[in-house]
Amino acid sequence: MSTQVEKFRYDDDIVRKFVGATLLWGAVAMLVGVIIALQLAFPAANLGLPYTTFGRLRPLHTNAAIFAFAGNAIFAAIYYSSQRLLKARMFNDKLSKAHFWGWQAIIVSAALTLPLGITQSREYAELEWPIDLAIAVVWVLFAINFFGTIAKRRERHIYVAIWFYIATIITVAILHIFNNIWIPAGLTKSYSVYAGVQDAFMQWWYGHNAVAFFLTTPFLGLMYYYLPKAANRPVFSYRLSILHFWSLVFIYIWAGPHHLHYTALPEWASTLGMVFSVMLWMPSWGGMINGLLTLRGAWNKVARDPVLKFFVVGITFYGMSTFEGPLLSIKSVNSLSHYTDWTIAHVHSGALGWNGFMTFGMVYWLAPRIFQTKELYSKKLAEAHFWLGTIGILFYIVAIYAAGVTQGLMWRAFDESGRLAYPNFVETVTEIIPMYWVRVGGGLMYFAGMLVAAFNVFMTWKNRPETYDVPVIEAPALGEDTGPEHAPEPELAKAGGMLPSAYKIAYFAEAKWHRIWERKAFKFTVWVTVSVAVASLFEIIPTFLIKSNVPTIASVQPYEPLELYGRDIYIAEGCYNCHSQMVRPFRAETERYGEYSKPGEFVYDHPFQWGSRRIGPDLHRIGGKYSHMWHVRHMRNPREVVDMSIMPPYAHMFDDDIDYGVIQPRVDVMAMLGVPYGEAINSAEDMARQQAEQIRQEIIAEGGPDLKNKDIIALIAYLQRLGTDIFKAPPEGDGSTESPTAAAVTH
Amino acid sequence: MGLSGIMGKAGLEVYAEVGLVIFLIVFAAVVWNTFRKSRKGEMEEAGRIPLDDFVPVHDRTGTSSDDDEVTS
Repeated sequence: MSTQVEKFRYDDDIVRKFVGATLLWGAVAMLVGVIIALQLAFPAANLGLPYTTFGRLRPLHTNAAIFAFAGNAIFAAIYYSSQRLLKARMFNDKLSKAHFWGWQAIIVSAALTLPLGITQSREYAELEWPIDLAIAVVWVLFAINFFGTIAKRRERHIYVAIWFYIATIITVAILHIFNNIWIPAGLTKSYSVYAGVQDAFMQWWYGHNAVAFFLTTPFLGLMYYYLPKAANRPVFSYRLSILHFWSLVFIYIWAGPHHLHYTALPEWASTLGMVFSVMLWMPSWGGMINGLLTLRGAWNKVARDPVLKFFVVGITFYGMSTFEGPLLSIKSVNSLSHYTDWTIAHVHSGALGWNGFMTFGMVYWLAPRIFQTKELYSKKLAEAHFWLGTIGILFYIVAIYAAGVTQGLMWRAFDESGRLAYPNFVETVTEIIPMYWVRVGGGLMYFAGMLVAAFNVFMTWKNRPETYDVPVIEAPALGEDTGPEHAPEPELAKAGGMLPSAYKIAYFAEAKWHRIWERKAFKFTVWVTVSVAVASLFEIIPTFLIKSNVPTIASVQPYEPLELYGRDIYIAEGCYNCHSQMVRPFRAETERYGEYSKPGEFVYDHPFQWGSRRIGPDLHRIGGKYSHMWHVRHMRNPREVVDMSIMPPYAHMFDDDIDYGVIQPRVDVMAMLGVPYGEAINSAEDMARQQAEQIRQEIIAEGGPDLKNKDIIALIAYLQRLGTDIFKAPPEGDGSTESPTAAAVTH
Repeated sequence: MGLSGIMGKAGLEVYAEVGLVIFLIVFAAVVWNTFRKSRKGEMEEAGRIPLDDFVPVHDRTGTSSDDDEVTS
């Protein structure tokens, strides 16, 4: 043997850091979750402060749960397992540290800016542009560190967990960059370059695949490493795990058939997209079964080991959520589930069951190893956490499934005379308040379990040795030389002379190429990148760039400068967290809200505000529905006009003055994005002042207070404009030939 | 004409269909290659990698090694 044996050490310090951060931010994310759950059941918990309303805290909860809790857990998992699977210390300790502290700084800045109402309002991508840039930089540092480690590895075969990590790093980078293309209009404000339908399309391409590549693939990598370790046996079928990987990478990107239905794709391609979506059931369940069968013959261990208990329940929830996902993408199911709590229940069975429990299993397995104590501080506490968490999840999701289906059915119910059975939206809210209380209980249990875990790990840490033992590992280096095993001669060729072309065919047929490919990290990475990027582009191009897909409506005009400012208030307050702006073409919706929404109505909406959950009613046709005074009273105290409303009051809008100085730059950015602003390009501020004065007079005429230059005026200007353009006559002389009726939608 | 106008006239729709077909073929090739009988042993060996990841020097040799020799 000529290969040299090398000695090295693993860096577990970085793992200890990420585990600590996981527990800290997990507790914060879940605490905020419990608070906002309480706010829905008990609106006074909004505290009457601008910073603590549901609309501002809900993005804080989702971002903390995904990027702080799950994010740090992923990094802990990757830093511990990659070094061991690749038999190499991380590429560069400074990069590891920069990654850790950079990520924590991003989390802190998110926790500060979101309650201040600094947001892009695009779900799970709310953070404003300076933080987006920081995320990109830190992610690149992480990628360099990770691929550098692969480059100096001492294990030739790249284990499947590493494949899942590679897919995560590459895809998250692509998603983050393409979903965050904006033009800044100040340090804390930017406008998406995409508008309306295209913005929605881009955002949910991101949202859909963020679930796939931030909450699924890295946790599968985690599963394929930590489950065999904890069970002390190899995964049931390694080949199934490879199939699992490629089917996720190839199929997930195509899995949203709704992304294809409205494109110029022909029927057969659309159908194939749906087939892919249903096909996703198979690898997902294959993965779940692969995980569970790893424990065959070891079920007695599961009864004794809390780590395995967490893994078994976590993997089972993976199976449940991946069964439910495709189910929810079936149109007839979606028509009932969309905008209801069904989605919330689905998300939480995934987040609490799959992401949470896999994280806890990993942390309990890691703690005695990274803190070098023989045992976890208390196995009993871990058992208690397991039961608290499991029962907490069940309370949470059962109640919220019931709430979702109940509300969905109430929205679409008609009485015998053919009218809406529950015309008053708030009736459908009060009906599910008891279930909201059950959720608070379930969430509290899960949160309590989180605290028990933090305590248990803290006590384990306290028992650590004075100095950590850092054992020296030895492994043979990988030679530079690729050798015969890298360019293997086909078996067929050995049998006798072959023509070069026949040789090539035999080479291909025996699939030696794939074997080489599996070992070549960079080729492998390039292929993952290509498959993800190309699939995304093919999917996006038809709906995204081709003009004919968004029919234009002649009467739809840009927002007036004051309305634009009001819209920014709507965005900052996170109104989209509870109100959709998308009336679907169902009779139950047009009866309740008015004319259904047309794609051409949103062409100036940078960003779109369609929302994903109706905790309150849809607002797309709110314009002109009520008087100014109704809005004044409603915003000041919602219960004054809607008895039993759970909306928080917005008193600060009556104190804060309109910042006229920012309006012109914002209009200019909009104009830069192609919004035809005309004269407002030079006189946005004057126009805004005029409109504000007009609305002020109208409110006084309706017997209201004098609200000169208050934010509420701008918000009312926006709300009164919403969804009204389609009923107006198109402006004269714009050369348009379309008819001025409400149905003037051209294709 | 803006970017969307140019893209709209470029006739890119067909790329999506071709892409879909290529993906299906590559995917089928990967599945076939992974599940060939001749690769069973190699695959089982690869599946054991996580269990073989921690081999401290002193456990292997019975003596503790010299720290100075450590390369990272």
